[in-house]
Amino acid sequence: MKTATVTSIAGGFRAELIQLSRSRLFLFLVTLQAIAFLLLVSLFGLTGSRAPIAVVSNDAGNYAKEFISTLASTHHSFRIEPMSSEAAACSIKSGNIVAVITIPSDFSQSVLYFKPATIRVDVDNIDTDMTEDVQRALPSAIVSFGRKIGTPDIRLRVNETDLIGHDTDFIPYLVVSGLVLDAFVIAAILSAMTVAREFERRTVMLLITSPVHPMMPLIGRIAATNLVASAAMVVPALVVVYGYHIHPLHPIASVFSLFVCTCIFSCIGVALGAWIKRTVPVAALVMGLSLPIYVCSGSLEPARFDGYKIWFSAHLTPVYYAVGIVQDSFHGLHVTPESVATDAFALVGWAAASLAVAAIVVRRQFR
Amino acid sequence: MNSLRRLWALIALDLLIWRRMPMLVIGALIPPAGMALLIVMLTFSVSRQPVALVADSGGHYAKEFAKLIEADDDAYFLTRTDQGKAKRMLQEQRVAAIISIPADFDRSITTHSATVDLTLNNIDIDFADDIRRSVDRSVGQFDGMRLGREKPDAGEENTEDKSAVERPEPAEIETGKEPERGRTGNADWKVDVPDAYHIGIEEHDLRVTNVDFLHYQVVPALVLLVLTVGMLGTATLCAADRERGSLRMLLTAPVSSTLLISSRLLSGAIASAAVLAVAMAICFLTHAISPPPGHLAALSGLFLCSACCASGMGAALGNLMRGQQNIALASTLLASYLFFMGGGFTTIAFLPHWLRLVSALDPIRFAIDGVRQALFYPDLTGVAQDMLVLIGAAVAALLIGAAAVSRSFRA
Repeated sequence: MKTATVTSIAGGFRAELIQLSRSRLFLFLVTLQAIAFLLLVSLFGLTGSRAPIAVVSNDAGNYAKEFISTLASTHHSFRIEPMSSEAAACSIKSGNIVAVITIPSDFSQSVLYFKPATIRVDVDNIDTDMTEDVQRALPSAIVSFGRKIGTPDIRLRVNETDLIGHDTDFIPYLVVSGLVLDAFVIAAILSAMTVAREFERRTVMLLITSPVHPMMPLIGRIAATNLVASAAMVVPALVVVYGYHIHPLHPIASVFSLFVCTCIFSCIGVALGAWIKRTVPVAALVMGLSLPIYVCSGSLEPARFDGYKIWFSAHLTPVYYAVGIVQDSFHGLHVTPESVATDAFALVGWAAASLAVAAIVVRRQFR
Repeated sequence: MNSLRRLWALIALDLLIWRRMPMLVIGALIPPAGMALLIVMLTFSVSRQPVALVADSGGHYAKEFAKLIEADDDAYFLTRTDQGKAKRMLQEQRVAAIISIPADFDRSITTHSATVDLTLNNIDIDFADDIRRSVDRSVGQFDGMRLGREKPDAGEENTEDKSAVERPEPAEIETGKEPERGRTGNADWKVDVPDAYHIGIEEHDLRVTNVDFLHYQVVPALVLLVLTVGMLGTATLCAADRERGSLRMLLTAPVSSTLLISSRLLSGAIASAAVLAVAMAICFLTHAISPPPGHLAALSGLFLCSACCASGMGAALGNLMRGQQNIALASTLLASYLFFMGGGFTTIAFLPHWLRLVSALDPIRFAIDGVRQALFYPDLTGVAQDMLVLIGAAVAALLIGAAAVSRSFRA
């Protein structure tokens, strides 16, 4: 019986490897999808900071220059593009910039003699979020400028203490979380497809006649998809390290955590495949759900900051725990109130629960 | 007339097949539904940040500064608490930052040496910078920074400075006497407080609108719906015809190949238009969207062109690739690319120059821009241009799709 079990697992493993070697286009598309996700989250990351603005400076004085340099350096707020007023007007209308800041000709003189100067800001108030960003960032730059030039009437300053010694840029943060999403997409799609294919082609009925538990050959198949998914994960991981120049703080831990995530997400894919039993919707389901799961799992910022309800919902997805582990190993950031060990333990629980669900669904199907 | 009847019969057949593949319909609905869900989730992340406010001083200036922080409800989800509880909340990630007003705040103000303590969990710069900017703005407002604003159309100075607070004399602070409030009794610091920074802001808005983040971002999900349904539907119908062998049967039918090709392309477009109509009806009934009067025709035109684009591209994909799962994956992938590069989930202006160029080649960008213009703004500026580009793209996609279908007939 023991030999039969091992033989069926090995048989499943070999069969799946052969199947996957014949589906090279499919593997290519899944890997492409993983890289696409990284690019897509980067696109979103680009909107998080450095709003492109035109600065029309009618003053060549030193204070005007200093003010422009402050605009460029205050809290990653603006990406400055010096322009003429005509070019700026054209640019804002064509949607290439979000605002035009016009510095008046007497700006430096006014600052020098403590006279009031007024900066004109033309905002493309395309939505309130973007408008509010500009409305926050410009006063912040003025405050920094006042501090920098030592304006005497200022009574109040901010004394900032950061919990972390360094700032992590938004895109590196998003992209590392994106690797978890990639692991989810690649591993879950491959394993879900494997199981769904068994149902779709009705080969699952043949498994009934085998003298071992029908999950055995499936476990062999999932082991093969795991192997292939782990190999496919190398591509986005290399893109992150060499393309985005994000070097993990703990490389071995990072590789290990991504590998564990891949294995666990494979188990979840098994459950999904057994539940849906069709290949086309299972791929669409994984891809359609991946982004919302990604967002509500603390991939943009710690989920706890989004309120109790979202934080609670985040616990219902495995991505939350995986992001906690991977952010710790890449950036040394604790993005969940729970410890990394707790996150790892929860992920293992997810894997076990998924396999159990898959076994139950498969067994029910046989009945 | 006969040709039209035959065309409709073929379209009806395709729609019937499509309706009998519920899993395919579900598969096409999941990505846009997921995207809409994503935007809703995102609204919680990008808007207000949880912050604890600790006021260790009960002085007048401390109260005024606390009021400024409390008034900034666009920026913070504020919890007023004490130092010990605030630290626990920060540790448990229940807040992202603590703003502390120290005990000697009022005394330090009179000597121009006051500080407000900001303890920040700077996990990433996105929300950390949001908090930094907001606190800076409140600090600027406290020292009288002028944040003037003009209406976009009127071009007049906004005179909404309803309140005016006179700065209390230092002697009043020393004696602990409550200083006299402003003329209106409102304690907001506005332009009458001497501006320590001497730099005011005069804001001019480009548009007459007030679209919030959720509506602005979620509406393009309708374009994604048209794309996925049209693309996946047409591609799968083409693949199914080939895999089931029903293509041969169709070719023996007494209709011209032009009619066959047209029916395939039109059925994809009609399927996506039908699904969109249901989604739009739900949106109208729930008042989720309400286009300005007279914009419905432009909106329908934009969606129709997008549906034709999707159908043409779906036909090309369905005939160029083999295997339903490959086609499903490729359709979803292509739809996502077109959607994201078209500004469905991002603001094009923020992208680097080369990506903006790539985006300019994406016809869906014009669909998204046009739909937003037609839904959120009182005029239809630029919609004609968007429509022209979309019509061109739709014709090109339909021609490519027709060529692909025709090639599969010959094969």
